[in-house]
Amino acid sequence: MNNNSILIKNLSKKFRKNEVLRNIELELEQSKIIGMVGQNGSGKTTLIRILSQLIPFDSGSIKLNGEALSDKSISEIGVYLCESTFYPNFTGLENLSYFLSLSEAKVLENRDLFISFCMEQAINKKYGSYSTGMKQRFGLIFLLMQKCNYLLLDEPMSNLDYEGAKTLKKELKKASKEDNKGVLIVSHHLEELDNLCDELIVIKDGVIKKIELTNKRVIEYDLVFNDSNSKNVFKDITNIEFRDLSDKKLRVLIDEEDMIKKIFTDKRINNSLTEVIKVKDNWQKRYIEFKGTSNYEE
Amino acid sequence: MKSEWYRLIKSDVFYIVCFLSVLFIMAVSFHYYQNKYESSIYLTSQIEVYTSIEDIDVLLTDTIESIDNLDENSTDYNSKLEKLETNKKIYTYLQENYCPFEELYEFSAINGYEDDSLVYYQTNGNMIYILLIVVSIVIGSFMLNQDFLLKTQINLYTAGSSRKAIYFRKLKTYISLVFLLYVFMFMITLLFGTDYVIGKDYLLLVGEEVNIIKTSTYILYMLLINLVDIILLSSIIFMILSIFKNLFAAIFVSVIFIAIFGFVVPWYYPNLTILFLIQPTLDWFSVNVSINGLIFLISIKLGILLLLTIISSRVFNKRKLV
Repeated sequence: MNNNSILIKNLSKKFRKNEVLRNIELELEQSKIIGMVGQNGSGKTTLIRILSQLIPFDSGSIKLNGEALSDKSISEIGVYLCESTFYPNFTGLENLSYFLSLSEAKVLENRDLFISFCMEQAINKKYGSYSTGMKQRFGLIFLLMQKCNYLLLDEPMSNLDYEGAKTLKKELKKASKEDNKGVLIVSHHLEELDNLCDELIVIKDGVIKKIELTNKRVIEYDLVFNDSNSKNVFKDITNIEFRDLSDKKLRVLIDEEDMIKKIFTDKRINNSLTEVIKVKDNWQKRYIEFKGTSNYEE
Repeated sequence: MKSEWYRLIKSDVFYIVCFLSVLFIMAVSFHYYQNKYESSIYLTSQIEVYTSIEDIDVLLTDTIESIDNLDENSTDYNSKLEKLETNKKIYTYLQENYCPFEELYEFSAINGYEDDSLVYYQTNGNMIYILLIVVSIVIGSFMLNQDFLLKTQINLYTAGSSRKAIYFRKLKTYISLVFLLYVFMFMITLLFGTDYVIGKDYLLLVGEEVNIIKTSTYILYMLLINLVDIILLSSIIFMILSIFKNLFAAIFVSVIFIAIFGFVVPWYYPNLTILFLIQPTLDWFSVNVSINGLIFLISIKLGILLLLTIISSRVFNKRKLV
């Protein structure tokens, strides 16, 4: 257990009879970015709401830097929820001044963020006149301006264009690596979290499953063998994640590109292979195919 | 608090409420001014007219004699005795605290549009009171419940300050607004009431206690009580509003609460009015509470206010915000 972290233990939450979260265990350390994916209704937003103290939890514990979550914790945690808004009759700058005064942060200290998110013109216009995408960018600017050690984001890229998403990823990495902030980012789409997270977790039916990620490229291959024996020999002598597709066919997941070359150079394997097909790879596929939660579709 | 004020002055609701309140109190003052009429002395206690303190001595002696000479067998003995005893109390008091007869008038006899400062200030004071109840509901719901309507509550209560701190910041702004509006409306009352300050100087109070008080002192007391009650009532309204997320449900319940405890209950139990937290009347002498008793009641009310504030902030701190 790290003392500079949000530590969740056995957290459960019910809405009437519907158990949304079941014995959740999670640790969000400072300087780390955790990505959380899950279907609609899987409990992602509920978890964010509980951590930001907008709703209470039923059982379990949440500790922030070693202490139970309390009034004081609010200043440590910044939250972006896609449904949250600002005062429509205020300009962007007025909204920032008003809301940032709550955390004693200053707008002037972070003016670069307006430029990064292409909001420098809009900041003096009324919030009510913003488009959906602008509102989202504005919400994210507000989050990044807050003086807190943990950032919780719920669907932060749902209305962002490519450039906006790229900027957000850059800023979140900067917040994590330079300002040592812990980031928990929730999304429906695994590809949004690509090249961003240090850790990826999946939430399904209120339960969290962890997936270790590496920064190495992950590639899938379909290998077709001469016969089933050759296939079994391959399975015995390699330590690679696989899935049987047919008697002679196997799908493998390889973390390093070099690995496939090594396999080919092994005579026992190379002689038994008739075909090697490179399948388009991504994390989502890996999750579906190899972690046994095949219902996940987006 | 500064940013709460900023939010208030940026809203149309604030200007509409202030404008309508001022307009209303000006209209009431003007209406009163137009309908005033001259009237002489208002006494129902049937004390005799006197011109000097010597006359009071004579009147007191006569009253004591009349009591002594009352026929105990007479059918109206009790009523006569009661009346004479009251007059005796009044004459005794007048003898001890001499004041001219022409400057006396009796609290219970004041009504209508008499050319007197007391009635004018009392009428306007009641109007301000009722007006501020409405203002409290409108401004309170704007400050607390509008956030839930706009969905700004998420950013507001997660932006870095504790929920309690935001609650108290809003409450302080709200109370100071109610206070300032009260002062401002009273200033308007003063402005329109320059004709009335030359009214009677003394107020004769007949009840279980006989009392004489300078009208200006009485008005000052009224203002103080009114202010304490308004702040207490506004705070209770604020606390009720803070329970609800839905703007309309919050307004509806507040209005029902005011109607029951502000009007229905005092209507059926008028003598208990002063004991209620809500007291939409200023005639506190009519319920026979001494000044010390009044100070005690105000202290209790302030204590209740403090207690309610602590409880409500704790409740607010634990409630669901989405």
